Amino acid sequence: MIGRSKTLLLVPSVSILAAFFVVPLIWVVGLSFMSSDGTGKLVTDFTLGNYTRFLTDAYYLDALLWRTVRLAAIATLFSVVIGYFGALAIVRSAPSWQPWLILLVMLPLWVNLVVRTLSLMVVLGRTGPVNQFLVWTGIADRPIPLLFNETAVLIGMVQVAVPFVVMSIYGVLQSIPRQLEHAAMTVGATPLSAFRRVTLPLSMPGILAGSVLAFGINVESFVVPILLGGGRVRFMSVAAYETATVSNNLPFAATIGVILLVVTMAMLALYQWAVRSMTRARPVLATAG
Amino acid sequence: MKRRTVVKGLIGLLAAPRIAFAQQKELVVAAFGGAYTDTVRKTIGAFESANGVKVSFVPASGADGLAKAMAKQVDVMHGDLAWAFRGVAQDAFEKLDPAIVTNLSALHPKARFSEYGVVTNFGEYGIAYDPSQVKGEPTSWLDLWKPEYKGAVSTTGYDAANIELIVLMAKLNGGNEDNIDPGFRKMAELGKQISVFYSQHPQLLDLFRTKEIVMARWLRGRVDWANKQGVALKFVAPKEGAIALVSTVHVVKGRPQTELAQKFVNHLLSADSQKLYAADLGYTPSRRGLDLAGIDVPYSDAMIDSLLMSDWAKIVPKMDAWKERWEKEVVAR
Amino acid sequence: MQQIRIAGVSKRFDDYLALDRVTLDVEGGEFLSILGPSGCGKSTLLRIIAGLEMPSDGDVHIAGKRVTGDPVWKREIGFVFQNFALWPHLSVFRNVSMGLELRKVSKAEIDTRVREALRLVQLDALANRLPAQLSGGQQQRVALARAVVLKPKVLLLDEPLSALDKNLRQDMQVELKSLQRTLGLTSIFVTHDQEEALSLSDRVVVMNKGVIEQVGTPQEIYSTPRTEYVAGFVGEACFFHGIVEGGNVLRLADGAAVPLAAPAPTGARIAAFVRPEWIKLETPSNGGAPAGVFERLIYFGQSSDYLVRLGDRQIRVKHRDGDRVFANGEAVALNCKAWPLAAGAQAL
Repeated sequence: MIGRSKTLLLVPSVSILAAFFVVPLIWVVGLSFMSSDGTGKLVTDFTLGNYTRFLTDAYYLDALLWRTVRLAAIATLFSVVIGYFGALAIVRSAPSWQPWLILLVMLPLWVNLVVRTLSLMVVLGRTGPVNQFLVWTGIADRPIPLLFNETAVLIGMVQVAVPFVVMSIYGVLQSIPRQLEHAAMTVGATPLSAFRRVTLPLSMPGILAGSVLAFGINVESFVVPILLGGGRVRFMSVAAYETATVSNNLPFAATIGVILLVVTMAMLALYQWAVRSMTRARPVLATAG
Repeated sequence: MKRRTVVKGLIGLLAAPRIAFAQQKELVVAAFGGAYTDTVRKTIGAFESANGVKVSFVPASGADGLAKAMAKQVDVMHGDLAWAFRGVAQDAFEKLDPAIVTNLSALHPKARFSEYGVVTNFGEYGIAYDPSQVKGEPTSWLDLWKPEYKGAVSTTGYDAANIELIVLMAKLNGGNEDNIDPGFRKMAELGKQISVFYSQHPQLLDLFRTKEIVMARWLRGRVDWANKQGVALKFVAPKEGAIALVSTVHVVKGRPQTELAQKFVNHLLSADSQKLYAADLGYTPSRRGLDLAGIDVPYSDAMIDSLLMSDWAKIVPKMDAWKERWEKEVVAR
Repeated sequence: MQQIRIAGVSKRFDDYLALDRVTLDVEGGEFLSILGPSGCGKSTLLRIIAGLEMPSDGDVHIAGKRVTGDPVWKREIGFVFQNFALWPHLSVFRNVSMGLELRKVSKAEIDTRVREALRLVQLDALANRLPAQLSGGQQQRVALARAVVLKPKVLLLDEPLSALDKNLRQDMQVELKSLQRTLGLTSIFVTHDQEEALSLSDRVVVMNKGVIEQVGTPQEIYSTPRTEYVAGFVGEACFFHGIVEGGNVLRLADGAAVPLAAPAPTGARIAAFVRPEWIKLETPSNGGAPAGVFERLIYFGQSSDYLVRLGDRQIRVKHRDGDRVFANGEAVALNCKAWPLAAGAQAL
């Protein structure tokens, strides 16, 4: 009886998941094995043609997939490093300040992403404050193009992902008693090595969660590459959207989506595996060294 | 006895509005959202009362609009030439009936591109330029290719107007819709000129404002808008012809009230509706012989004749392949 | 030789003076307890010795070297935290070995020394466990091993046993003391438990509100405290206030007379106290001893106490074998000698 009523309790959440996630996903996967005639009419015969088209073309593999994954990974690296120090700074600040600093980090999330990205365009623009600063200090003798290239897209993605990273690392850091670092100092560790040997490994779950979140957000970037990439920095999600809405080739758009999903999941699995095996190997390595 | 009468009366009261509602016919129109729908709404009252119909608008065009048409959720669909021919190929539309859509005869012939739809108005893509940065007035689309403006010219990503530009370049270099290679070869050169493919009008405005861009493919109406925003730009229709921006309208097949939908299309082509396209939206009406005195919109047969409008029946099946070529040959460095 | 010198150390937090010019010497090999209620500054003093806090004023010397400005990681101390502060991601072995790793000790030596330290706390069998897999007492031993494996100049213990339950605490007291003896470690032990302080220490420091009230052997602190505060904090005490007559009798306000265990200046208004076990109950006579009413006997098993009402106070008296049995409500006289408090007058 109890078992059955527990199962019943799961019904709403499972059906919502099924309705909004699983069913559309199955539909998209199914779609990716169909084709479209020239006018966008769906041809439901099974075909691997979309996958062959994508996977045998250097343009799709390099300029699209590899660029997307590469930029997302680099942006994730920066987001995690910046986010980690942000979270650490908040945790180490006076307790009365912390809620305000958290608010400050969350604030951008309440501003529409398009608006945020557009304001980033003003900041990075030829006459924006960054360039004015560079010219004023003499670092650059004339405004340098910060916009409409991969660097701009990277900056945009980092800007989007950092608040999420800060929040996921902040939670973990907060749960690590400061005394554990003090204990390391009492056995002779400098603050830096106390951090490296105690706080850093203990905050690994936060780093892992933060980077998975950041990579997931970055690899799906849409607004940022459109606005900051200047149409040059092609991205998987943008390509899928345009293939659907401009070329009207829904099956191929679905294929781009499925490939992005599979590659993302494979990357995340690989990453988790790597981090796990690294942390497991740590004690052995350290005693050996 | 008495009680039964009361009950009957109550049922009658409850049922009455529903019957009235059922008698009120409804027409669902998929249209471009925002100002476009607002303009159409202005004259809709007369149409509604004349035909005893309630017209409701859903903001849907392009892929979304056609999907709704195929699902028979709308009676009338708006689109452009690409979506028009896709809809025709997928058998989404009714033929327009000249007996009902009597206004068809009053239109410029270019507006009657198909039996299954009609162009309600035209816009012009030409060259927007910053007179303080560009020497003399550009005269040709090829001015975008001039080496002195390398890095300072822009156009959008792959869209209908750029497809017209590819076709134009093909035609200027011995090709056509069926022999597009010369067009892509020329566009690849333009690609090297361009640092930004713009995607939003405010974005291009900012690029002009900061002088990062001095010349771009843009809409006439948008140049007026830019001037109102304090960015002094000029617009020119190149000698090869301005590229047509067309709004099409179609009657969706398989809906219960296609005749009413035909009447609605006729209403959009009436003199009053057509004049408003010019007055409110700055588009050139498809209808001939209107008095547009005091409205600053180019309006003549010659002007519409000169607009570049390719054979989209041939282009539509190739758009997916051309998109891939565009990305590889024009965008990629 | 003085292993630790604390000279005029003060610590100010914003407006709050946590330590006020504390001066204290600790001999080599000595086990010294700092006893006091929470907030008295004892932990702050310990953290200043460790270098976890910096004093606002004054100096700290360890092993003859001034270390006042040195950070904690340079001080060669061992520190045991109240809640162990073990590193949860590291095995018992690595918790103990980290200090040696940081000192770039060879792998072979690390292995020998860690095993030895773990054997000392009887944890050699659990070297590969994680802290979460250990009991509270075992965790405390790891913390001890971690501190002593470095052969520190001083061992600082911040209420290390307070997180353990009572039985375990008593076992650990014994172990801690024997470990300290074996290694001959100069130790400072901070606690708020007077029994713990008295039973473990060579000397006890009683602190109150940022100052040292008294320093002495456990016997001195217990039997001959200088202030009412110390007398009251280290054990149960019954206080008498009155005027000294003839140098050795305290005349109370109600006319009763209490003999003093030590001479005091005649005519002085002082306080004196007795411990429950110093009092013998008797049938009232004409001696003028303080009179009370026997209320009842509390039985503990191995011992028992009398409860006696003395005016508006209720006091405890230790029952001794061979004592007469009193009936509830019977009048009794208190036969005892009270210890005069040197600072008694101020306590009034």
